Amino acid sequence: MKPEEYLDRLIEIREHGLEPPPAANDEIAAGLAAAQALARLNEIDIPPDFASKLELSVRLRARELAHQNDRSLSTTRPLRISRPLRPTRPLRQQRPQPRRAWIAALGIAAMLALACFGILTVSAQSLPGDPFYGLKQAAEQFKINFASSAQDRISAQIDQVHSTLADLNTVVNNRRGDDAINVALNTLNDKTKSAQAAVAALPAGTNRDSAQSNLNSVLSEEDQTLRHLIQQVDWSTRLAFTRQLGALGDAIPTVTRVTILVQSNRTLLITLTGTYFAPGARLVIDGQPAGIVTGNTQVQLTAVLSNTTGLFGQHEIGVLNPDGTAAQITYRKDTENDQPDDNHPRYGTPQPTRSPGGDSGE
Amino acid sequence: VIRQARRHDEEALVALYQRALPVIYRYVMARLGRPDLVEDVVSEVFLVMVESIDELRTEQEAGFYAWLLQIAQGKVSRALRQVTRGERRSVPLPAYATGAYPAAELMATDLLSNPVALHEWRETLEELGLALESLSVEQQVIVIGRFLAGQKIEDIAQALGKQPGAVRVSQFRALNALAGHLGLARGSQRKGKGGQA
Repeated sequence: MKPEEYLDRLIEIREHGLEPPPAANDEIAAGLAAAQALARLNEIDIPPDFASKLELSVRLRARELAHQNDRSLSTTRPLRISRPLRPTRPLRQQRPQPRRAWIAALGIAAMLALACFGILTVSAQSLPGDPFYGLKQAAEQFKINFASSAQDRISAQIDQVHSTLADLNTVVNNRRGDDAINVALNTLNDKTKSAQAAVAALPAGTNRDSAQSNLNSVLSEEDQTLRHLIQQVDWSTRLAFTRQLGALGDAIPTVTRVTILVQSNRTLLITLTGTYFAPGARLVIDGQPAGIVTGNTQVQLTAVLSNTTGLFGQHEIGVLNPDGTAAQITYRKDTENDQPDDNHPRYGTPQPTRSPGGDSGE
Repeated sequence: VIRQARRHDEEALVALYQRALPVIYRYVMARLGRPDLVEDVVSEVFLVMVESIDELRTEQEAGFYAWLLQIAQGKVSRALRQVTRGERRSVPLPAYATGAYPAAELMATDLLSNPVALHEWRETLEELGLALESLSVEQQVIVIGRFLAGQKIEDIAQALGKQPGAVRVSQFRALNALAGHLGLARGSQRKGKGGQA
């Protein structure tokens, strides 16, 4: 075998990660060592910033040249990019006078595109309660509407549930206020329902199983997040969180009836009837814990409240479970002669709040 | 990809760029040794690539590398002519040492934790640059195509319009010339062989 062939063979052996046999002579050994030294150049790192900037320049130049090649735009002056390499090309010198209208139109289009891009970028970062949040929702809806397949659409919907959950987490942790939290929660509710409906609409099969698995995963995450965040929010938002947990299929407290008896010692005996009252549940009146719980089952909670003024007027009476879930009902008693301790069905979670007038039939 | 790139298809050109950037960057870095110069030269090489890709007559990757390396070689030579030899080869090593150029841009990051290896690597890079300069353009195309772009001898031969045997001979001579410049010939290599045994 000729020395150059032998050297090449040894190089190939080394390229395959194997240890080559000893070189036949010094010349071959030296060549092999030089090859190894050359291969060390592969250890030089490419600065990522430089690589991305240069890629952008390559793209811009490619677009410029592609436009030049396009006959319909052959008379348009190409966009200049940084560092043109052949600025004195005869072709450019011979080009007809540029059409200012084209340039203006292109400039305006570029500015509009830039503005749209900027707004979309800002909206993509927006949170519930921000001015551009609606635009973000529209963009997400657009993405769903124009998904190429049902699978992609569902995937986008599940992703959006996930991102809305992240938004909710952020607005709660940043204490952005009840309005922002409610927007996030409503959005989460809508997106969750849409994703559930889309998965349910898929024909049975592996695609559906896969989608269902992904959906279950995000729903589980949603459940955990809601249960974590519910401890940080105030009473009214807590009710909304509870409703959303109910929508996920969790067992949540509901209050269907309240009765209040004035006892002989002028204390009030308040009895709430409903479902899923947990051990350790507390009575809450108008968003504030009140009274002493004297009896507690899964469907009934009894508490005694010192009565100095009575409970005239309208009050929200509810229950707060130790896990943070809550429910309430509207109670109204206008005069001493009213009999509020009737069995009018009143709202509690997960039903939405009714107007007080609709509930004051006693 | 090359066929599409000839029509200035943006994605095809970017694909070629992404594939060739490490090869060209490392070659130019070895030749020039100064990141500030290197970035200018590499940028010029790729902008020439975009502008002149329609002149490329081959559709083989090895041919593309050979063509691009010749452009790079020309740009490097031009850059070297613009910098005096004293500036070019006396400045870089102290400049690295004083941190004028961030070492992370030059070196694999695992070297940064080993000062001795880092120093040796800087010296090797310096010597490699000088050694490569001593090779002919064709020899540079062969060894860079082989060891940085990972091309096979047969592909390089086809790109250069030569027989594989002739390319092997050129490679053999180029490597021995490099070994001579790098001090790898004879004594130092015997030591290496002894170490292997």
